[in-house]
Amino acid sequence: MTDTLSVEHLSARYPGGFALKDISFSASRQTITGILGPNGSGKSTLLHSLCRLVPAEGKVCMNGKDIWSMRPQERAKTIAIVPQHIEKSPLSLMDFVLTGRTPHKKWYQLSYEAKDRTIAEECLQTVGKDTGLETYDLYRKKMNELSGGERQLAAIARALCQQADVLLLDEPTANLDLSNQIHILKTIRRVVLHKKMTGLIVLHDINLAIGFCHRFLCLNQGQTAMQGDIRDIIQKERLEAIYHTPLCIGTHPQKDTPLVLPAF
Amino acid sequence: MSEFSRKTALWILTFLLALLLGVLASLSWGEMFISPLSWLSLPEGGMETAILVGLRLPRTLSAVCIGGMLSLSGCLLQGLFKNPLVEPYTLGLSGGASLGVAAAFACGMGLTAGTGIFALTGAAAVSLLLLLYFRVCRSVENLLLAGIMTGILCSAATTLIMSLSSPEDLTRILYWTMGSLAGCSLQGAYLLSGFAGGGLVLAVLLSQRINILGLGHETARSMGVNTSLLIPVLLLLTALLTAISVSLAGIVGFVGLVVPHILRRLAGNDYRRLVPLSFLGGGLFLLLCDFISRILLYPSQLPVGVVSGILGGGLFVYLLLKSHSDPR
Repeated sequence: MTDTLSVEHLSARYPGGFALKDISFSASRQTITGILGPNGSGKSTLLHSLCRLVPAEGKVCMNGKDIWSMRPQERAKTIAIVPQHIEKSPLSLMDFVLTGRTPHKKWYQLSYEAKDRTIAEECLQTVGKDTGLETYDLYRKKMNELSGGERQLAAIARALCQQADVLLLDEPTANLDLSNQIHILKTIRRVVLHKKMTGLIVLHDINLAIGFCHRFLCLNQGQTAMQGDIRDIIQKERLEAIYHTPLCIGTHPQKDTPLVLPAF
Repeated sequence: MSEFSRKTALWILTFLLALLLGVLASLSWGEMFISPLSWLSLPEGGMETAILVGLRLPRTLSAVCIGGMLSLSGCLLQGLFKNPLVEPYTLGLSGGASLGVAAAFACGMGLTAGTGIFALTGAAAVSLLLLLYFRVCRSVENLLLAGIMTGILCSAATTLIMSLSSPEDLTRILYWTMGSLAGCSLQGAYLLSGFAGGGLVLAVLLSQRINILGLGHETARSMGVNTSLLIPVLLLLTALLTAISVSLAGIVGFVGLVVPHILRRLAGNDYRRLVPLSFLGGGLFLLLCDFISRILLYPSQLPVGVVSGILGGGLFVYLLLKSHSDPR
């Protein structure tokens, strides 16, 4: 498997200090990299830096091409982000998802073509499978009438519409109930594999990350604390030091994978 | 044709028709009624032709263009700041223009074409300040605050000049701030139509980008919208439209706030529809205000800014009360 996304010596500053310091990693196609770490460790800043939403130093390449030196529109065709908070919008579900076609449109183009609508419908079908989204009239259902989970799915569909190689997701399961969390993560895994994308996902729940990610990058105070596969990051003492809390590490009764629980 | 395009076309046609009727009424009515049926047969050099072409045509054209430009500016700024309560004057542009006019009087100039240039310079100086500020701070929220503060500063400076002016100049400055469409020449009105048309075309072309901006500036950037370019372009466009309007007609209040606000409720939030409708609606609103200002206390005329303020303010309060009583 060839490395497709490579990040070298990435650093980001905020007034008076480092938000990220010398982060280097690579991620392959059809894999999901889980980004873990306590609050304030720089997980979201990392995602925002990768797609140039915040200034940072270093080098980020996709298949050898420097993403940061691309024009904004070209960059958006390479890397797409699903933000943590999906804004409520008066747009219809279809119009909202269609905005993901923006990088493929000229600045003065006012309407979307039939091809854009077909892509948007296909993306909505991919993420909306077995959910309420399937049952809605895409042109009449407004975004601000959807539940939090449905809005998150719509935002993933919008990001897929960008037809980018890299998909970044910033805590897509925050504020969702258990069934919605599992559904969203299963959907993400399905689309990353099916569309041959490179997925990077910020998650707070280590067990969910173990269940759905292929590789891991654990940050602490803006620096790489650990990275690799499950065996590399499930190290009790180091996790306890990073999260500042005693932990118990057991085994998942069905999947035979590690299970990390706080020891309270 | 999609349902959206069909509905948009219907809205635009309705407003165009209403505007056409408004223009016909504005050209026909006045001290002397000149029937539209007789326009083509009017003798060249006659008094009726002079009234129609020399007085009413420039005034009507100016009302449509200035109303349209102010409303368009309001609509664009509301999209840019994601705040339906922002209007062109919030950014201190009217304050800058008033200061320019006060300075013109302080320099010993009367109400001449030069006053307009001073007003334009004042508004342009404020726009440049705001653009510089945006270049430094890169925050749209702070830009709004900076605009309000600049407006307050300009207003204080204007008051200082007024306090030092002679009673005659004081009256003239006050009269100018009330707004009037009486001083426009035909050539000036044609030039204004060109500016307004150009501004409208650019705004329509940018309307889909403003829709994307409404999803959040960060989201827009992540989707490839070059916000570092789009935001200054929008600011410059609105500043120009407002500065030209204010320099020609003085402070005509509430058009840029109320008209886009009402249209948003009627026709939805999509800027591809809202932008052209705001222009047409603003033109229609100011035409109506000008018409009322001419006939209400006939033979004397009210300043158009007073009528637009009362009508616009009244409508705004009504809308606010209605939205509170509306269970939606």
